[in-house]
Amino acid sequence: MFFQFVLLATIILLPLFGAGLVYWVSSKSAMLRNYLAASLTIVTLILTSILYCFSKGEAIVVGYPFLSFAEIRFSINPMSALLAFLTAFIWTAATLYSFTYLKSSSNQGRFYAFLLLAFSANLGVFLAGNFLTLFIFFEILGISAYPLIVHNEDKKAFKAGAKYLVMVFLGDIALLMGILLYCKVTGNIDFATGIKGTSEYIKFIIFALMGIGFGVKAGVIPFHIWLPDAHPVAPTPASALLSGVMIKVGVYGIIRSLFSIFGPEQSSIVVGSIVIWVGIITMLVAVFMALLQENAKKMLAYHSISQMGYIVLGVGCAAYLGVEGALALGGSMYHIVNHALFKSCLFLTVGAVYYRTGELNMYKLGGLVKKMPIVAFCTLVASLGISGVPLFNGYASKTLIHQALAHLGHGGWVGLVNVLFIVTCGGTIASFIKLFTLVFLGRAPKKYEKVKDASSSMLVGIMALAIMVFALGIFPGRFWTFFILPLLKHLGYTGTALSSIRTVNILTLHDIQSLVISLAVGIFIFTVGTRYGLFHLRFPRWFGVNYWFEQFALGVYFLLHEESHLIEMHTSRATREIKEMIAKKGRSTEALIEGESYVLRSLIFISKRHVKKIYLRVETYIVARANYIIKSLWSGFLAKTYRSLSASETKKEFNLYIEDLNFSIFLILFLLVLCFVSIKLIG
Amino acid sequence: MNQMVSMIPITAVALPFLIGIAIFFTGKNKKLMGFLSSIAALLSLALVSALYSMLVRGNMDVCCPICFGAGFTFCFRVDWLGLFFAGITSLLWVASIPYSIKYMEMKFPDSRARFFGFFTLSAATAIGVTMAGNMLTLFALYELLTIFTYPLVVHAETPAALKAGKKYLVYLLIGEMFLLFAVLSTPEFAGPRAFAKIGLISSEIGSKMLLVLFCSYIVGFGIKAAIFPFSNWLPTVSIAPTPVTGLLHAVAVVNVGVYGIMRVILNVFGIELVRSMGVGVLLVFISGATIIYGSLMALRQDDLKRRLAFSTVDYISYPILGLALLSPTALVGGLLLLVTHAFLKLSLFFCAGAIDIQTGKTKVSELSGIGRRLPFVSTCFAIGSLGLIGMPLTLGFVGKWYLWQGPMETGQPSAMGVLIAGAILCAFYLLYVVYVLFFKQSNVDFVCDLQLNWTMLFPIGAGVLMGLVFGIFPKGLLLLVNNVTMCYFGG
Repeated sequence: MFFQFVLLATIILLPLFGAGLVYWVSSKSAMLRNYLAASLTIVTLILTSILYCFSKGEAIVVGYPFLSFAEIRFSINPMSALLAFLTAFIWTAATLYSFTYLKSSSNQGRFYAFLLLAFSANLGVFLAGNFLTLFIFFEILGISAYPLIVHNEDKKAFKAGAKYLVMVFLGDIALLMGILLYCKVTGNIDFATGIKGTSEYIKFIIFALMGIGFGVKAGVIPFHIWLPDAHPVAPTPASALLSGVMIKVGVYGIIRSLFSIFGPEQSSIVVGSIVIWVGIITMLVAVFMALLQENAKKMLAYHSISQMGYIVLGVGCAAYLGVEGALALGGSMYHIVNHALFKSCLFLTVGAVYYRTGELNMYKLGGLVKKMPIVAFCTLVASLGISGVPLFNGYASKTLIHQALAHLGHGGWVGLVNVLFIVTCGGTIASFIKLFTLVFLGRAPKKYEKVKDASSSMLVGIMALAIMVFALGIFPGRFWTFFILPLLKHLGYTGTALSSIRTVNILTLHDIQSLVISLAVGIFIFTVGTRYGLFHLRFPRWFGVNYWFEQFALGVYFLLHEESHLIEMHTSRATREIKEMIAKKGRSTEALIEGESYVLRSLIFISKRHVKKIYLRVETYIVARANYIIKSLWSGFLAKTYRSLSASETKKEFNLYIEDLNFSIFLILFLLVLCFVSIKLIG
Repeated sequence: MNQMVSMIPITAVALPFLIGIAIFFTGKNKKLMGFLSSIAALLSLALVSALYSMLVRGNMDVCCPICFGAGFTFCFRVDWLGLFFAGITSLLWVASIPYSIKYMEMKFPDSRARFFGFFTLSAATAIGVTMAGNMLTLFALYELLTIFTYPLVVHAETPAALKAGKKYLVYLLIGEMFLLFAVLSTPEFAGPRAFAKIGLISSEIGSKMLLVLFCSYIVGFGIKAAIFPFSNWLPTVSIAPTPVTGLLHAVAVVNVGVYGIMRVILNVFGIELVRSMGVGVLLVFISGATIIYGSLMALRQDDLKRRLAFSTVDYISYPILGLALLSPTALVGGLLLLVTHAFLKLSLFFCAGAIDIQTGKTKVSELSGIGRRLPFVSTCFAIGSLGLIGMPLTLGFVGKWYLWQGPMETGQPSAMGVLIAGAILCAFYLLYVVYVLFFKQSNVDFVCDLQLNWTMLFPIGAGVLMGLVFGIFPKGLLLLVNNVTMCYFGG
């Protein structure tokens, strides 16, 4: 017992204190700092692999009494140990990679220090033995990822960083509320296998609050808005970790809270179907957004959201099916591991291309397969993995989730979910055909003639991940038996549920059929997309959630600005800009495609000018109206009240930086509604 | 109930008080002045610790009456609640002495005898208030505290400072009128054992009179605790020298206001009476409004010290909210947040002062790039901010954990809403400063002509360290806070 305690403490504290040490050493010698960071990560990797050996059998719990009736507790169980090992593995790959990648960057000391801090927090989340510990490390992780995101210190990075912080804070508050409600209902904060003796409503509210908290981190739609901004602006190793590992913290939390609240024994059809739909919408919307991207890293970030959708879908199926949901949950857990491997590998390869060429826009690259053969090969392996092609790791987990869908029944909404699932798979395939052909095939632009393959320290990280992608693809059965089944047992599935899924055939006729269909869909989307230029299509901004968040924030911004002429200025300027655009772009069709054009390209093929004109008018009208209504609301009633409250303040003191407030007020209102409902129900 | 008669409470007040008077006569002898100030602070800390050990040994309270005849008794008495507040003030008083000596040496080379004299007197009086044994003593010392802090507020003697001083006096003296009315209407206000029993007022005096009395007390003490809508004096007096804004106006004076409200609800009225009057909700409403108002105003301030002062307005209402919920868990949370605020806000103010001395920057918008020039001060500011926001592993989180359970226990969703909104806004107005310090690019180059030495850095670091240590090992502090709560909620 003592040995396990020391082992756990070392795993979490070594990177934590290492962070301070690395920062201190950084001012002395860059070389020493790199060796130190690498050795700390590798030692932790070795320790987590030792930890895994202890995780079989009963869960081992060690704790430190922190608050009355709430201790800081860690638990060694198959699930935690597997995820901790995965974290350490990918962290090692990314740390090795970053030595070359960041060679000429400033603030390296800060980067490595926070990288190690986030490492410690991430391990802490996975090894946590109760909700309090999970929350503590979750919040530390949220803060420590911020310096990694804004590492480049440009305007884009800060904007993404502010958005990230706001969302994470709101998520943390929802999570804390959920945990406190859980504590109130059950009397303790331990992970359980289902709350007994409370009404379904309260359980649902607790799950909703926790789900929002974790969902923000996992990038579940509609809380994803920070993710496509924040993941690409970070330096590549950090992006790989954000998308590969840190995002899993959210999904892990969703699984933990779902099983603690509902447990595997009680099937909950309502919660299950809500989660299923959230998952399917997340995967579908994100994959289409990914298809429209030009920036390779942004595309990968959208794919991260989409793949989280797969996992959430599996979790939803598990909740829906209750005892029989072991297969779905196993598929989800399997996909967590797989996604971590191939997504971080993809980020690292794309980063390597960026490191050599300085270009992230896929359309401006090409023909790099001869210049960077190893990177190209690894990209191919990882792309095949994410596309779900047999012999690569993604196939097994996607098939398992798909098979679990079949257990839900046939026809009706399940049929629709099934179709959407295959369409998403097709979209993913199309997206990666696009990535590979645009970046590596075709003819290389002249300026890239002297491009070499990535340096050895980068290749070590990339190849380690690619080999794992391949290995898991060849031996899915072994992985299932040795890693996933003990994990399901730990989560509370009993013998009968497990014995039926001891061996699963993942190459049935049905599976091959759907694979062929999704391949066909993928190739179809790719061909049609490139042929008709559909990948350049831009949706109007008000189409997305982000726009409305921002509009609302703008209202708040003006509310705090109390200068109503700004509002008028803004409205008139927006209208003028749109008018100018109509005037200018009416002349050429091409102009519409470029820049921030609002028009659907597909419509142009049907009828050129008229549709376009009408559409632009309608859109101008809607946007202008919406702008006007929101802003007049703020500037009228609320701003007046506020101004009278603060009459004593002079205008000079007023400053312009409140835009960081962004969407907060919206979510505050949202949380308020939730807390009202929950407390009314309990009190 | 064990009671013990001892002279220590009155000594703990009188001795520093006398030293404070002696400081006026030191003239230009700077060394003696610094020595006497430190001695006064250390003495009071030692005596407060002696009182702590007496209380731990099982005495419920330590008292020492002085009779003036004609029914008027001045009385000093220490119980867990008083000791809790006295402990915070005396501890931070000691910590702030080296800082203030150095700060005054750099900022105001002249007329320091007056400053240190009144500084010592104010701190001693603030400790005295928390050891007062009946309402009369409490009121007298409370009034003295206002008067002693006035010369500190106007220390710079600029027109702005004098104006701020006027505002300060007007606000606080009006509050004391209300308080005087309430004290005189309270039966047994001058009795020797006024706080000894729970619930001084009986409901026989009629519900209207009860309500009037309650409101007068809340206004009287609430002005010092900067509750909305009487909070505007606090940001105005942030013009005073930083040690004053730090120790007195973020810790001692506002804490005295909170202490008064706690005494009124816990001792004078008693929890049962307050519950049956239904005025808890009123107090929840007032403190909620203060939290929202304070944090919204803090968001809009560009002057760093003003921003921190509004943040004090915001934060000091959490203990009041915790009390108003009338649940033991919430009170524990409120008291823990009071400690958090005392340690961390003092550090933040001292950071602001250090930045001012070092670079001459007082506005948030000018702070960009300071993080690299003054790494220690800026790091302390960042950790302090995170602690106030309630990041895990700081004391703020422990307080938040308990306070947030309060509305769930008593079923008051509006209080929960206030807590959520307050937490978010607090994160915004503090983290923005951290963002500017560390990440924002600076175009302007500034000169760093002075080197800060340990006398200024030690108090900053100590406050932040306390917040971290208590956040990771909260057991000891929880025990003390539980002792306070158990006196009133039992079990």
